[in-house]
Amino acid sequence: MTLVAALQAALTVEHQAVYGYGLGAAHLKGSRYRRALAALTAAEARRDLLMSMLRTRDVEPVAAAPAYVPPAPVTDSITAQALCRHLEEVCTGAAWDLAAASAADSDARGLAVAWLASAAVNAAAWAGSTDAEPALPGSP
Amino acid sequence: VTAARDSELQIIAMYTALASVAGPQQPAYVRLLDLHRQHLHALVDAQMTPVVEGVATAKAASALVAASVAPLQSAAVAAVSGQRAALLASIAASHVAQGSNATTPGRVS
Repeated sequence: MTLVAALQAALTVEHQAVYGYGLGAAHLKGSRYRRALAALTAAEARRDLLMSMLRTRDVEPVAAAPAYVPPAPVTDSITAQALCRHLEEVCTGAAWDLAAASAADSDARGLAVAWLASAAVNAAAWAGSTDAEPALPGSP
Repeated sequence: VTAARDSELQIIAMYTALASVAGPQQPAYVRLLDLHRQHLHALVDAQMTPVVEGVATAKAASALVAASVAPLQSAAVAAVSGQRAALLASIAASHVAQGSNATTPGRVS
């Protein structure tokens, strides 16, 4: 995968995360609601950074779709948390690909490494169990 | 990669010692042991026998896991090979997730 393809794929995933966390947060309360909002804010920041990286390389960033279909209906707190966990698992895959496609000591590599850690922590938090700790988050 | 491998060996040694003591938390230690063995197997082809020096404590093991994150991430950022970078970053991410989980035995808060 080329760097530009990995950046575009990462941006696509972040568009989905921004939409998905908005959808999921609507069904959450208390600390879970706050965790979803924090993840939403972080996803928006990464989305903007990824768009900036693509424009720096004279590439038009992929646009967000008006809406995305969740993998399962989101109707309550349980299904909302499952969606949030799913989003983070997808993010770990995109972060892994970006780490693999980027050059040493580049801005994209730095973003990918930090993103992978963040997504692994969030995925474990949404799963709420040590069983959720993946040995190698995001590995293909 | 050598430093990451050595770090995993030390972590494995500590959790091996902790898991060898029967108690209610033994399954959790065994699970963590399996996790770090997978990290090690991803880093090296040959299986190695870890050696623990001194007394292993849950707090020391958690501290070692936490202390390994920054070097792993730095190595990932600097790695020339993309696949190796992703692997190191992934192990670092797993260590971060382990440290963030409140149910991890011996977590240093």
